Amino acid sequence: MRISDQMLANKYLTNMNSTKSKMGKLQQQIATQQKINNPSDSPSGTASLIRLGSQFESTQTYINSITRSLAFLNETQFAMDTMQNEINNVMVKLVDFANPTAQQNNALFADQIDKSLSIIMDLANYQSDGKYIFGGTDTTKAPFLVSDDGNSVSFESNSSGEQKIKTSTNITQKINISGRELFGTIVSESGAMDKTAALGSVVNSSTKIYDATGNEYTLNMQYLKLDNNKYQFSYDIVDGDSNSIYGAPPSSSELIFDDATGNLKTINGESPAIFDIKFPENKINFSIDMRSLKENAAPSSITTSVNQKNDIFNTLIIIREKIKAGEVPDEDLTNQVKTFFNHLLNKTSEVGAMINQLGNTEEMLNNQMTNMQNLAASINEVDLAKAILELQQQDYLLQFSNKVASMILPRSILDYM
Amino acid sequence: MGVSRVFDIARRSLSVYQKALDATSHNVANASNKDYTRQQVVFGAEKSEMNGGFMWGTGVRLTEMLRVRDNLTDVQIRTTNQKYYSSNKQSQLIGQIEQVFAEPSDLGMSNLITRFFNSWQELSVTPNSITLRQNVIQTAQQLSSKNQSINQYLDQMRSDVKAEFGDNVKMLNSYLKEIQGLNSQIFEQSTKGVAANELLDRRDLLIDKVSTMTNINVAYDSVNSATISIGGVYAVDRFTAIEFTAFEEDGRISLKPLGGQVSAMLSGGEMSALADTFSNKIPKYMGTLDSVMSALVESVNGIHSKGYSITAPQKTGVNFFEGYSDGELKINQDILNDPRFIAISADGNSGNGDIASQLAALSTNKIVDGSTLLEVYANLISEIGNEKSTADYLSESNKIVLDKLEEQKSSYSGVSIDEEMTNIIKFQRSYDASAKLVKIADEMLQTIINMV
Repeated sequence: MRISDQMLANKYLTNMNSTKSKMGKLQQQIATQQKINNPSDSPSGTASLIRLGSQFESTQTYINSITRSLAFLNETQFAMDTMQNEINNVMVKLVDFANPTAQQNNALFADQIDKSLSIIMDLANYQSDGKYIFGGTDTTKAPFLVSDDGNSVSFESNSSGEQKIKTSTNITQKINISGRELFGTIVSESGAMDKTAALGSVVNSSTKIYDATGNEYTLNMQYLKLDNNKYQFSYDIVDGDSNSIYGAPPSSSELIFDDATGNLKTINGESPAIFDIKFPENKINFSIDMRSLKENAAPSSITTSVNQKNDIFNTLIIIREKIKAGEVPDEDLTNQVKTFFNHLLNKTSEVGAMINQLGNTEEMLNNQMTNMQNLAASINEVDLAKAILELQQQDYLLQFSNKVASMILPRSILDYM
Repeated sequence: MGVSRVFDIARRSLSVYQKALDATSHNVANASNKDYTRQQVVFGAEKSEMNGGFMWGTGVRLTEMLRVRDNLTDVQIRTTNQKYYSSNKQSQLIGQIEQVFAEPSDLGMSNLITRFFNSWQELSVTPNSITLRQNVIQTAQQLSSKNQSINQYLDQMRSDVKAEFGDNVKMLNSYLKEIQGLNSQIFEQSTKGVAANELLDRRDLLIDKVSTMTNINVAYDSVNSATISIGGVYAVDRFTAIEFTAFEEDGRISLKPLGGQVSAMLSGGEMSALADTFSNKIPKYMGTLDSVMSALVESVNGIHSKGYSITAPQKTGVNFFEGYSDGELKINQDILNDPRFIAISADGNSGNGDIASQLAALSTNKIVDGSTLLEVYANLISEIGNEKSTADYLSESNKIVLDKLEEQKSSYSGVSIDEEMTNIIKFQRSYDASAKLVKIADEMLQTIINMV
């Protein structure tokens, strides 16, 4: 083969450029510590990195949510623990007061009960990071208000909402105990409607309810079958003389059951939730929970249960007033305090369970983060030692080719003529 | 037969070797000119004469100044030129597009999309926090400005590509015109029996240049005129050179003869890469980006408008985005003015963040043709990456072929100084020898004269 002068020069230049471009690539990898600096470095690797990066950020957000929620739950737990102590105090006082020698100090006892009540009220309206912890989803208004005369406590509406956070794409967790849930009177409807009943048939249920000062009323509820899986729910509250407290009957709701599972699907088109009933004139305040109602082929049987006769605030006010008047609170009242105490214990352990659950989830998410980091590193991380060795090798090659070129290129027959 | 014959032969060979030395020095002088084709002196024996019953040789003569050129290599170089310059330009253009997306990095859009959805996730935990609401607006603004800058860049790039295509057309026209001129000059020279080596070099160079710009077909007729067609459209011969224009219609750009009907089918050279980037690639990328943004606007607004704001009075039916058009993602001005307009409460309570949770869940919902927004975007990036690396690969492999061909051409047509120097010594020796012959002939004449 004929070798022209251009060939030698071109060959040298081509090889030098190729070595230098390899060195440039290696240098960039070492400087950025990344194998993939442009999508074209590895198109599929880039797509993986984008997906991993997004997962990583989302997981980090879940962890942040959990950290915030844990702080909120810890405050809740603290408030509930303190409340337990106070209720305990009240129970001890009630036992003490049953002793006739103590009864002459009734004013002192009434005062102590009142102190405990204020502490419990304070705790019920406790705020964490600007949010009322028992405020449900309405976290900007104090959920419990003492009336002007100091003789009753009313619930702000909407204190039954559940706060939820997402801890992964598909898992949503409740992170609060709502005021209603903890303090409120809840009328629970359970049992089943008859799926085969004729249209227009009616199922009734009723229960006793009490106002803030302990007066008795009757809550009458009625389910009218409108269509398959569809019922009209209406209610009325009547006093001891069977007179409705409402001027006009309160508006009814529409219940729809799932045809396949028999579960309650919607109330007035919304997903089922506890709904609150307030009648301020009579200091009536309670909630109805129909979430466990079902519809099946068996004959209708509905059980109505009420968790407590009155809420703890108003119970304590009644007790205080009785003691003030020198009366010993009857067993019914002390039992109401005990019932609340047990309920409080249950709810406290529920908070404990939420905290544990979140803690476990956080740990799991942290593990996921580590795994994702490892995966991203395996795609994108530069093996520094290897890269430097390769760079060194390219450098040798460059030096060799420079040396050889500087020997050959200037050589010509001219040197010998 | 006289002594003068020796003079004759010697004189002739002196002149031949002098010319040979001229040609050699022409070669040496052009050793570094890469477009030069080396010329070889071809010697031949001068016609013999019949005398005294014998054939007598009459010395050397210059038969030809041969332009050492391999036509096959030329054809291959031109074919490879079209492939190499097309893929190289593609790689260069997609490389620029790749840069503007800034992936994979924290500055890329994928991160901004994720952060936008995460900001909803964070807000869902503390729905009435103004700081977190501001954070949502801020991430949305970042996403909007990144998207806008990508779109503006791609728009700008598209018009730059069009301008470059236009420049190329102008250059192509001037090359074609010069080729036509050279064709006719070469024809004139050849009718005079003169080999137009320098003109041929120039014409080959121009044809090579045209082959880097576009796909051409070259044919030579009986009088060695080059006839060129571009993508099926006749371009130049000895008599005429067609003038081309850059023709734009329906967002596509093509190469069309002035006043002609049919556009050239561009399949090689830089111009095909430019036309493809202008007509297909950039619109395709922008289209995918638009579909991601439109789906984002539609799905976010669809959920957001169901929520309640925390303004007094409360509002519902509020859109988060005003809309998406011409690459601009606009956020609702009310929300920009007052973050309390963000409507994430499902039931009107300030502590309800269900809508924000639903919005956050959009990041994993398959809302664009069965894929999530991020998947569509990631696929776009990986498509760009793939196209770039394919172009890189093609460009590199064609470069290797081209280098080999250039090497072959250089091996055949390039000047080797060592060879030329050897020739010089050879020709000089022959010249010396011829001069010596003159001297000997002179001595012979002297001898004869002295005899008288």
